[in-house]
Amino acid sequence: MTEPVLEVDNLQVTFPTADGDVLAVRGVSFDLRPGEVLGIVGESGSGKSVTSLAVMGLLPRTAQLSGSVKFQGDALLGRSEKQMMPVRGRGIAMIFQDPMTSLNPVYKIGWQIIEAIQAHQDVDKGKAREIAIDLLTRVGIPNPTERIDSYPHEFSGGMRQRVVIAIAMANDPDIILADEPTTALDVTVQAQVLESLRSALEVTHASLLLITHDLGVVAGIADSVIVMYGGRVVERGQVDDVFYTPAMPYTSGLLASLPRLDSDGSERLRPIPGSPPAMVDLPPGCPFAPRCPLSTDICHEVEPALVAVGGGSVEDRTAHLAACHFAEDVFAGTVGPIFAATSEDLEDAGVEAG
Amino acid sequence: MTRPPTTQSDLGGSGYPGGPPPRRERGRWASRIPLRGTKVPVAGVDTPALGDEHGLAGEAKGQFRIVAGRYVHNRRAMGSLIVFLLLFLTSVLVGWFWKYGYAEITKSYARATFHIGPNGTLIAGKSLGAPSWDHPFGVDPIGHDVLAQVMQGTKTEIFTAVVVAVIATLIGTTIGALAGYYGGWAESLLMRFTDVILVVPLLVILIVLANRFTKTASGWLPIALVIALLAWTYLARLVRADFLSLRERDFVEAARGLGAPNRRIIVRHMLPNAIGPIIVNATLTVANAIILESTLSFLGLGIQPPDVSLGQLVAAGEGAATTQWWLFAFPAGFIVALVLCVNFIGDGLREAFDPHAKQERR
Repeated sequence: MTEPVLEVDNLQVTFPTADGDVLAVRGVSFDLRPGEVLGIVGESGSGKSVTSLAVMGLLPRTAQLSGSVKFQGDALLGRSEKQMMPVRGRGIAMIFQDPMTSLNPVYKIGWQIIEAIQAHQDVDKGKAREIAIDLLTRVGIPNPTERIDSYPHEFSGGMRQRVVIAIAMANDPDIILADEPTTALDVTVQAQVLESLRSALEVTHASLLLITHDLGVVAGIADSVIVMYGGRVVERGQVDDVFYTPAMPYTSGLLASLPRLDSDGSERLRPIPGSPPAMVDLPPGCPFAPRCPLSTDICHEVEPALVAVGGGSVEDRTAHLAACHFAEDVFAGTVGPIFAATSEDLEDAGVEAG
Repeated sequence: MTRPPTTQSDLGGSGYPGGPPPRRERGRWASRIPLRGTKVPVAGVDTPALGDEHGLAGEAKGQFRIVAGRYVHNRRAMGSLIVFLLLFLTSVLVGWFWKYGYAEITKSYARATFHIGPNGTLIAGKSLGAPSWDHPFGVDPIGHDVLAQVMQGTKTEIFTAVVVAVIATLIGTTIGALAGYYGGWAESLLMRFTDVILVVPLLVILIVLANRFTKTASGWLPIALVIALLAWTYLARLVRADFLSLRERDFVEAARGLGAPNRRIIVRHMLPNAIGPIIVNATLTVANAIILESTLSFLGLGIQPPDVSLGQLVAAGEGAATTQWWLFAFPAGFIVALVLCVNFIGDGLREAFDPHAKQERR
């Protein structure tokens, strides 16, 4: 078995604020094998972006971190800026959410790609420019020899994100860390950008850590998936396992909330009622309990640990894990469709009955 | 339907392709609008602009060229720039080629005020050295040619002001950038230091410092240094504010994520994005420096004789403002002209870097 290229073990991130400590990430563990595509899914504030920034060492200095992050066996947490530099870009390359702002507006894109190349490789400008043109070709920029001398404002959003992907590929990284790479884009160009991302993976043989709240993107590109809620991993497993047989009510709620193409259009969307918990002064128990239709007294008192469902073992990294007191029941489908109807639907039904 | 979309009929009505573009369109797009002999596509006028926007015209527009393009179309700013350059050029040329040197003592004043009559008596002259063909700006009672003096003063003034602006900009930008980028105790330290400089009454300090330095040294450089050491504070605050907001921008984070060291991020990534306010402020510092230097020289603490500055000339001519107006009016007028030009240039630059500022003011 190959060694993991990235190991995150019991990562905790706390931001001290005037209102008290914000527990943004509370004990997240996962690992990433060479060539693997891991999706991290969760709604806003679930701690997924903070996790990725913690890996890169890009959190603000006020953040308090504990746990461990290992890149190819070497600890990353606690490294100084100087010690992080060789890892950033070369070891782990990052793709940011909004391509409108992640390119420097005053430089031609060629300058920016060449800068990335020369930051880690000892090549002259002419050679770097050749590499840059090659990279632009690979991410599907038409006419790259001319477009390399364009400024970012002369590109559309999807094209810019491809440029950002080209920059990420520039130093043949071991991991590409993409923080919501398609969120800021038009739906029509998302597929093209994902295609560029896929070809970036083929060229660099990098692992991909894909952070998103778009379940469709994860289903399309990822091997395994982590679902985060309230700063914790609440479900983990291979994409097919998690999507076909979710074992945590939150995941099944997420899946049920997706609009379906095969519906006749008369169905309402089914949101999960309520909103995610504030991360200050979390009450004991499962963070999802207040929104969970299955919650009982134990859910409000004891926070469930990640357990394997479907006969797997926690030790097995491909096993399907879920953090729920009723994980086996949800997994087996014995508790029925959890988010079959929204509270609104129920109200409507009640009105009709009355 | 209230208004049809842009079609041929819409365009034909305004005679758009034939005549000059509407005034509003001047500036950035003016050069792109076909003036004559161009077929207007039926789809609408924005087709050529659209192609250009996507860089298909093969011409990339950098920040510098965009700004320069906007500036050139600002009539007042361009006029001021031309006047300013002419003033500078004239002052240099007069220094080289004019028949009188600025320190030369001519006999013209003596000749103009009196001459010896046939029987050895003194006869009063027609003027007190007023402007004439020989001395376009007149003569002072010592016999200096005022044109040569004013031009020498203008030259000194411009050199002083430019040196002040360069040094103050360097200091202000460095302090502001470091404070804004690093934050924390470095920021507190640098900005409190800036505050201290800022609350000290500028003129008082200048007078004290100028008194110490310029009495012992000659030339304009010492006084320029003294002014520069106190003139950087506003720029430091401005640059700090800009860097505070730039620091949060994604491309700065992306540069860090790429493994770029701090110095490179500050100098290559953030500074070019803050260059607009820095250049504008540097220009306005030139204007301020001219006024400050004139003030100090007027008070007798600035540039010392035999060097000449405009403030010094104003001080010398002030007593005779009603009788020998040319001694006062020419140097004073040149100070006003210089400051006005530089301020208009600064305004023009600000509008070129930030076109929205102009629209809001209207």
